[in-house]
Amino acid sequence: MAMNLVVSEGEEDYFNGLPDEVVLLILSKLSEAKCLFRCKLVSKRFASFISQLRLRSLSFFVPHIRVPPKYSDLITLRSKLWIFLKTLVYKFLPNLIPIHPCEIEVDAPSFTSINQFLSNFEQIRSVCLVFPFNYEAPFEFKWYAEFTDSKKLDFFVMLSFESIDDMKQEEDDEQTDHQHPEGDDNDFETGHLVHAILYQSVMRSYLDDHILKQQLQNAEITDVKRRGKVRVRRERIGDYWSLEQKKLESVMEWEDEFWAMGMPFYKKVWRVPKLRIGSSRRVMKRAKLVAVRPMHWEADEFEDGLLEAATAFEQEEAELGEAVRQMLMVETTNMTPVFYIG
Amino acid sequence: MASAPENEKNASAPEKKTLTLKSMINNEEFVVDEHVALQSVTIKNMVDSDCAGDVIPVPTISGEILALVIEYCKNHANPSASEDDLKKADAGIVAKDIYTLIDLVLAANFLDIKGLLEVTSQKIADSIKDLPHQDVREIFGVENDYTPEEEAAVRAEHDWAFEGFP
Repeated sequence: MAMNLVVSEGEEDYFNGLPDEVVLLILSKLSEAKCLFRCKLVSKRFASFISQLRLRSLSFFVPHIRVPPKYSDLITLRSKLWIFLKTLVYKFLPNLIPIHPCEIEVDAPSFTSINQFLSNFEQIRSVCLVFPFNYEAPFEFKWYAEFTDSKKLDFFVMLSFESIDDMKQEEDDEQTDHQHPEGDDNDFETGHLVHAILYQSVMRSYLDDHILKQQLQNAEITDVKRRGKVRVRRERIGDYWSLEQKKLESVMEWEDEFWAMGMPFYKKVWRVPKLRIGSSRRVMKRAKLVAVRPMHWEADEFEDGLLEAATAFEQEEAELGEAVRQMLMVETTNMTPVFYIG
Repeated sequence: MASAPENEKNASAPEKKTLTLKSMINNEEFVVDEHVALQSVTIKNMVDSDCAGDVIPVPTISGEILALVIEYCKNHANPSASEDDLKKADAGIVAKDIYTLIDLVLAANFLDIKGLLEVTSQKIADSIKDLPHQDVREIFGVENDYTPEEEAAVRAEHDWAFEGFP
């Protein structure tokens, strides 16, 4: 119908009706890699536009990888997650982790490496990798992990809670809510979830190589439900290096050879059965904050920088940030060296 | 269509200047307050350099599209509109079919209205996001200049992006 307006007379290619800058503007709003690549096939001109794009950020949806049913029927929650993540690792990090291809049967679409994919663009400032992550937990959770160099985790925090209600609603439920024993029956799931997410974080070390090469400002890894993110920030890389030189003798060689998961971690847990969030007049039930740091952190400095997690959650929802800040002030269990994943 | 009734106002009120925009596609005329129309940098330049007569002819933009553009400008010229209101109003303006959006983005580009250009491009991007490239070709009126061999090569390079697409 109205398309005839676009046709400018005398032009042999009537796509000239849409000026270059408008096409570029529209394409720059496509932040998903998959669809940009499909647009490359529109015409050569489109393809050249796409390589010229100066995108601020690009989301990259990692294809879903299916584990064959005969596996998933048999394995436990933990090994299921392990296989799932190992599968991802196998697809993405063939050089870093020795897994025999026959060990896991993978039914996944063939996939372009991230580097090959970035080479299609002249300038991208940040990248977001979105992983399929289908784990359903019996509670709500948000997580955040930050890395300061190409190999090691700086911190990981996870905020989980059973529900979040208005204060009034919660008073009505007051009487019926006493049957929960003091112990935390969600510890099992939490533990495995943390493992799983940490495995997932391995991907980051791979990304890092490319970040440094590609001059990216930052990179994020998240899952389709946007429950959390792994983040690498350039400005902190320098800090890490100076710290690392001091500790050089204590760093075991295999640790570098391997990956972040090969090293021991400490965790701390904060629990609040009912956390009142003043600003939004809401109550978070059975709130739990888990922080994980590499072993080189001393007890008294364990919490340094964790407040940044509050900022990270705040970007999504202000009340989550406030919850983290309040919980960090609560008396906690001691540091426990729970993670030693080899 | 509309005429200018503003001249009836008594002299004590500050005179509200109006401009008449005329679509050269179907000769529809729109009378708008000057400060509304001046959100278009193109019109502003015309007015500033005294090139604008009583009626400003707008080539290649139909009355239907011009009405949308004016609606946008009116919303954004209203100083009491909150950010939320404007967002909602913008969403309403761009809730159109893809071909209308293409015309609208061209109009926004021609008239140089940055905000409208942004929201319309975003909406177009959202609409073509899940479409196969053949449909994108049609929407943008682009001719396929790949040979079948070249097309197959580009496709093979990124075949993961075409999973589930023809």
